[in-house]
Amino acid sequence: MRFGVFWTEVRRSPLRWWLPVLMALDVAMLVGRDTAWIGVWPQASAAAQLPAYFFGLVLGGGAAWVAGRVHRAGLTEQLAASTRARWRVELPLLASTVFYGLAAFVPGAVLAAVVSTPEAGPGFLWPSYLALGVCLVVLSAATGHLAGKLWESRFVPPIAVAVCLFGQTMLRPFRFYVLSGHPQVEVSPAALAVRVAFVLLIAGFALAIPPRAAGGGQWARRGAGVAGAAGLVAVAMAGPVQVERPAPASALCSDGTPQVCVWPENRKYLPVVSAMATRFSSLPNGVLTVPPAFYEKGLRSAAHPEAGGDFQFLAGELSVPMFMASTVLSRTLPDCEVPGGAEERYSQQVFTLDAYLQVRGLGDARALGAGGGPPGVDLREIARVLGLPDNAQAEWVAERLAAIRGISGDCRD
Amino acid sequence: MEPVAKLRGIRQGYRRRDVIVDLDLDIRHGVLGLLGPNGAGKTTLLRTLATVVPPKRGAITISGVPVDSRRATMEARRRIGYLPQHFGYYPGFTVYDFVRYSAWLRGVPAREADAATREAIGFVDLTDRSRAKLKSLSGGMIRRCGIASAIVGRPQLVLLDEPTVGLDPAQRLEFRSLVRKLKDDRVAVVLSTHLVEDVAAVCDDVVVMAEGRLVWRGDPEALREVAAPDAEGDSPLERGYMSVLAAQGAVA
Repeated sequence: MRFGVFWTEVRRSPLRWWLPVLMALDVAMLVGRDTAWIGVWPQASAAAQLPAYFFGLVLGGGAAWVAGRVHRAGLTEQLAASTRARWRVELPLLASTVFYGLAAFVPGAVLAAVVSTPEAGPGFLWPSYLALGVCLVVLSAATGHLAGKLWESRFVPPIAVAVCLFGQTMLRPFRFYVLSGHPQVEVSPAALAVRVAFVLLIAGFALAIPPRAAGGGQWARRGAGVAGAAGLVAVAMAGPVQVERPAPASALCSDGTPQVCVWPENRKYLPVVSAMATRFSSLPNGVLTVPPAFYEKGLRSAAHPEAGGDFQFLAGELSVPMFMASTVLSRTLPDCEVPGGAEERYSQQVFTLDAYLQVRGLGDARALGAGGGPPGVDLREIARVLGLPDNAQAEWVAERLAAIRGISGDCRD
Repeated sequence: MEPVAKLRGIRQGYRRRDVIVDLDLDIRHGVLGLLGPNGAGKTTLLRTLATVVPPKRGAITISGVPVDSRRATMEARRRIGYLPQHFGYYPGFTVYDFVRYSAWLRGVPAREADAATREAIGFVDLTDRSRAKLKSLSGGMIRRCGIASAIVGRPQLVLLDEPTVGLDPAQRLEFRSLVRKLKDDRVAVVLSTHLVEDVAAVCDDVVVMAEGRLVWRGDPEALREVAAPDAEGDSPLERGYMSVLAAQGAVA
């Protein structure tokens, strides 16, 4: 019979029953939040990393349970008489928990890669984000293991793990996860290195610190507490998890007018965003002042400092019309001041025109979000206008612009 | 013949309280019965012998090697099989897994561990149940499994702390025959018990402890002979034991 202590622990770990739950949580968090990450490697990488935070709660609770088995089973005395160092005895336990964490994490990462490949073009998942995810898996397992050793209660350790992990949400400098992976940012190597070191430190404590049940070891536990606190300070001082990324030497730009440039990682959006820009510029009679180019955030300063307008992909392409409409409006109506006493009338006209531009840019009303756009905007009127020929739409826009200029009085043409 | 274990001037206790005081003891092949009332220090002595707790003072030698460093302690542990009174086990382990795990804890080399595990399981006659989970076994079988875990890898010294507690008469008889088999295997066994019948059945040598001291040593026959005519007890051995304790003022 082939035997390995590690595989025995894997076979008998209660997490074997929880693995489907962990995997379901992983996939649910991957595709349940949104799917805008599909086809953008850094976004897919960040999306694959994030579920580790959520199933980390379950994993940490499981780790606490596994670690607590030693004293629940009454093995403390036999282990004390063992020829194996305590950490050697604990290692298979912690390793089996990490094994289940990775078994839940890896399929999500593979899924993210598989569904992204067709659209994303050259490249692959970014290892730095995956490393963050693995850090979270090990951190959850190690924190749970440590809690399970320190508290014999069946309930305190999972609560301790939950507090530790939720604490990250409240205290940004201590976060081990990112919510998104825009191409403009990347994982800071320093922050990642410090986090990896911290995770290894906690894992070391989880293995080596003697449990309370074994008696003694007070100084070791106190020392570990001090070292852990120092490690947390180091994590906070290492700076944010993500830092700005230098703009690429050559952005990916469309051939049309206005030109649209995106980060190479966002190549999948280029056709749809180019079409949006074209819809802004296609109104006849020059009623709108459309910039010659639109640049995704982070590209303009590198290319043409003064020209064009910026946009961002906040949840896929849906946010782009908002940025483009804002740019077009500010260029069409420069220097407009809102007159005292006419704020409401002025805002309503501007909001209406802005909403029209957004819906025209995207091609449907999703551009206005779930709330249906700014207050006081008549969406049926906008839908009616968008059904008109371009000439008629240009006239409607011209009327709105005239009304705004009439209210403000000091807008330049 | 060199004793398997030698204790000299052992003082042991917890914080300021001494549980064992200036104890000298040689342990040789055969079965040494450790008798004494609750609180006499039997378990503390076994824990000290098992190197679970280092003595406050004194020296321990296992198989001629002084246990005076971490390395020596680890080496000694390879030669010692220890079954605590409340020995722990994972209910989900099979008999094989549990004994194999114990072999791993003892540091039995991986290439020998499988054979050693099978041998220990065979010794306690559980071969046909080696794939059974511990939670499915009776108390007697679990105790046999515990003995297998203590003897896996053929330690030279086996420490059994109150191993018959909770066993029914049939299971106790079974256990005694196992201890006799150990004796035939030239293993030194220290059997801590408060059941005089266990001593009568299997021990070659008896030590009586009271209040942390070794107060009497001899063979079971000698213990029978020291029985006072008016001593309490249902058997000559029990009366001998009670007489020893009475002489020490350890019984009311």
